[in-house]
Order: sequence, then structure tokens, then C-alpha cells
Amino acid sequence: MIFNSDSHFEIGNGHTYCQDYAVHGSLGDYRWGIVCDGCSGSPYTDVGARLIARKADAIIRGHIMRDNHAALDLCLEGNIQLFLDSIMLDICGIGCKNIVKSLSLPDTSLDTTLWVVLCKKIVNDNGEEKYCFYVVGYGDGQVIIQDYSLDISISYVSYQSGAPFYPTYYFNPEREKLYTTNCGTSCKHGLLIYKENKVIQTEQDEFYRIPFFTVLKDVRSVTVASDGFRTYGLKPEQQEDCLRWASTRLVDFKSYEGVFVQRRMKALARKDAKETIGHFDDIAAASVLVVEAEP
Amino acid sequence: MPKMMGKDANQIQGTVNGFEFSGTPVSKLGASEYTIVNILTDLSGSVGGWERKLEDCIKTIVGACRKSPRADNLLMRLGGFNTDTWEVHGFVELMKINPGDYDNKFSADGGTALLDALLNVVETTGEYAKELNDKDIFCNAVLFVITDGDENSSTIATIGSGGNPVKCGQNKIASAIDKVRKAEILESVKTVLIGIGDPSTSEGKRLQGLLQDLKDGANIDEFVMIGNIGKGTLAKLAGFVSQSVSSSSQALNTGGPSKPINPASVTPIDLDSV
Repeated sequence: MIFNSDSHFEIGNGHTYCQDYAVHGSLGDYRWGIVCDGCSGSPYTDVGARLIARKADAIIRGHIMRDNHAALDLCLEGNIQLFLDSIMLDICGIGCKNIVKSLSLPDTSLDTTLWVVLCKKIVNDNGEEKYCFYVVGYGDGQVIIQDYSLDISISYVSYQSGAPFYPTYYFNPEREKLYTTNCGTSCKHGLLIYKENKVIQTEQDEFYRIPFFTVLKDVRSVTVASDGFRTYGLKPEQQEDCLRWASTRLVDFKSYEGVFVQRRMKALARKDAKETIGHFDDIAAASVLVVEAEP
Repeated sequence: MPKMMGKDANQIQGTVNGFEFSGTPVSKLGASEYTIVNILTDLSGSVGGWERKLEDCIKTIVGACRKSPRADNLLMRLGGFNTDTWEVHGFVELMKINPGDYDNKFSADGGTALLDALLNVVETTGEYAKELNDKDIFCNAVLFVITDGDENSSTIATIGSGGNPVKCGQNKIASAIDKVRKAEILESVKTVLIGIGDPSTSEGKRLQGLLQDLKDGANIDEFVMIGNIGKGTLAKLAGFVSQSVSSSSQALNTGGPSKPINPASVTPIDLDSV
């Protein structure tokens, strides 16, 4: 089996510098991908997005290297939720805050989303390999899931106000109060399933403090992506919904070794350029895939 | 002649005109972009006695290209031609080439199927580039054919020629280059014909004239005469080829062609430094 992770990010047409960032990792039986999308209204979030993504990567890596399987034992879902929450505390509460302070940057530079996909290979007593994907998301963004019949579904979080609840707000009661006053206390957790020619969409209101969390098994690839993929400007003759257009093409990986996400995103810009006028917002994606190796 | 590096370039295919080539399976390649380098060198009887130096020249080219900041994004194929064309090794990542594998691989004999050699590099590059493009791998290409003599033995490029095999071959090569360009599978493709001869001599001047006609008739991008075969010329050849490759690899993703290299200003690379 090919068990690989990769990530890539690109500046949007409407931006001067890229506030999205993505990293990925591979160690032992684990593969992971991380996407951060900095708030375009706060200064220096390009730095913040990088810091938070790198910090999350270092924490995951550290746990694996310390053989901290109690925390990373993905079979016990309650533990992983706790583990990922503790990452948030470390990243946004103290860890990165000290770094931005040392760089004379404001705390608001850490106003970024954080989406993580983490996959563990588990070998059972019969020697069978199983792969368990865990996804957590803070702020807006989406997860694109492709099954082995190549159908895709998209789970997403969006905010009607357009302003996501950034994880840094958890640690700042004043900012959180300002947020709920201006933007309300709910967000949308939605699911889009594309199967053959049908689209099934469900959406529910969720308390703003609840991060997105899901566990997946028996899927081919899981890709976390920033909401910039919704800003692809399709030409009028394109009938397809923008998110579906971008997502189906994003996960249509042609090969799986090396920088498979980077190849696909660059090809998306090159080959599909005729169908689109580009993307206004920055885009970032990180993916973990499990596919049969070609003979 | 035994193939080299067969473990990596183990996917064997043929072009529309029957030129066989091999390459690393595209699914095994890890990068998002590559510069494809395809070199066919004259191994006809007239280069007899210079085989070891030609091998050193190729080793020097590989060594120089390895120092490029884009070395991880280079794919190289090496072949030879006399009355026939053949592969020394298929398209492999430059960093996986062991220069020592070139030792004692060249043997010079036979005629000069120059038109077949040119058609070979164009068609094999086009076919392999298509596979790379289908797998989202972005490429440009630079193709070299190195010769010390004019065409006298081609049998594939000249099929159906009637009375004028050279013109027929030139048209076929021009058509193949045009087809590759129109397919838009490569950001750019540059063809370079290198003549080994001294244009200040009557023989060299004659060769220069014939190769210039070939360049014009076949729509080859660049033609250079590098000097009579000798250690100094091969050192200059190594410098010219490696700098041309470097220029092409730096041009990748710019949307434009590579900067042409002036052979007069090329720094020769000492073959003994290999």
C-alpha cells in the first residue's frame, strides 16, 4: 500500500502575501496534514499561520517520537479529542503567544484557523492493515473525503457572519465576548455528498465553541482544505458549483508518490485554467492517502 | 550493448516510428516538475579511439548537472547512434545515475544515421513527456544530438523518401517537433544539434554547411560547431551541454524559453576532474 501525506498552498489573486499555510508529516505508522488560514483582517497572520501549523506539527511529531501512544492511540476516540484539545492549549494559549511576543508581533497575528488530519496504520492480530483517520478543525474550512469508489463527500464549517471563531479567542475572554456580540453563537457544520449525479446536503447549527471532529475508516484519502477553494471564479458557462468543481479536481490525484498534492494543485492552476478565472483567496490543502501500489 | 540502470528505467515502450525507449515509471517519480534531458551521441567509426573520452565527457556533464540547484528535477536519457540508434539508459532521475556505470560502455563503429538520431530524441521525449503530463508532472525539455559527420545511414526517418531521403528526413523531424509543441505537454522544448569539427578547415566548413542545412530544414532550434574532436573540445562540449541544461531547468515555470548559451563563452570542464 502507498500510505503518504503531502500539502501545498498558493496565494490568491486578491492577496499581496499568502496567509494560508500547510504542512504535512510522516513518522512510523502515522501520517498527518495541517492547514492554517490566517485572518485577512488581522496583521501578520501570515506569520501566525506558519507558527501555529509548525507548532502543531512539532507537537504531533514529539508525541510519536516519545512513543506516547496513550495520547495517540486512535482507537480510543475520547483520548484523541483530549489530545487535540491539549494541542490547542499549547499552540494558541501559551506556546505561540510567547513566540509572537518575542517577535514584537500582536496576539492577533495568531488569528488563524487550524485543521488537522491524522491517520494511523493499525495492524490487527491477523496481520491485516487498517487505517484510521481523525480530523479536527478549528474555525472555518472543509474536509474532502474520497472513498475507494472515488465518490467524494465534503464536510465543512462555515459562519454566516463570514467571521470564523478563531481558536485564539478561546484564551481571550474579552475578544470572545466581542465575537459573540457581533457574530452570534452558532456556526454551520455541513455535509455534502456527491454520488453519481446526486448531491445530498445536510447542515446543522453548532455551538461556536465546538470544533469540527470526525473519525473515518475505509476511505481512500482525506484532505483538509482552507475555505479559499470556494473562491474559484468559474466562467459563466460552467454550471458546476464552485466548491464541488474545486474539490473534485483537488483530490483527483494522478500519482501518489512524493509531492502528490503539490502536483495536483499546480496542475489545477495550469490545466483547468481555461475553466476558471483563478481563486481570489489563498488556498491551502493537506492530504493523507492510502492506495494500492501500482504493479 | 547492455542497458544501464535498468532497475529504475524499467518501463519499456516504443514511439510511433518504432524507436524503443525506457523510463522510470512515472508513478515512481516524486517531484512536481522536471527538465527532461535527452542526449544521443555519435558512435560511428569516425569517433573510433575517442570512446573513453566521450564517456568521460558524459560523466563530466552528469557531474556538472548534479551541482545545479535544480539537480533533483532533472531526468536524463542517454543514447548512441551509428548505423542504428540505441539507448545507453532510459529516462532516469539525474541524481540516481552512477557516472561510473558509463565506463567502457561506448564502442564506435558503422555509419551515421543522423536523421534517425534526431527523430529518436524528439519522439521518445514527446512520448515520455505525455506520460508525465498525464500524471500532473510539469516539464520542459532540452534535446542534444552530437555528431562529427553528416547523415549517411538513416533508415527510419527516410522511409517513403522517394528521391530525396535527406529532405524527407528533415521534414519528418520538423513535423515531429511541431507535433510535440502543439500537444502542449511541455512548457518548452529546445533541440540542439552539436557538430564536432573545425569550421576553419575545409572538411569542417563542409560539415558546418551540411549541418546548417539540416538545422534549417528540420527546424532545429540551435546548431553549434564545437571544434575538432579532442580533449579540449570534449571539455568545451561538457561545459556547453551542462550550462544549456542548467539554463533550461532554471527556465522551467517561467513560461518562457531558456537562455541560449554562447559556445564561445562557455567554460570548458576538465574531463580529468571527473
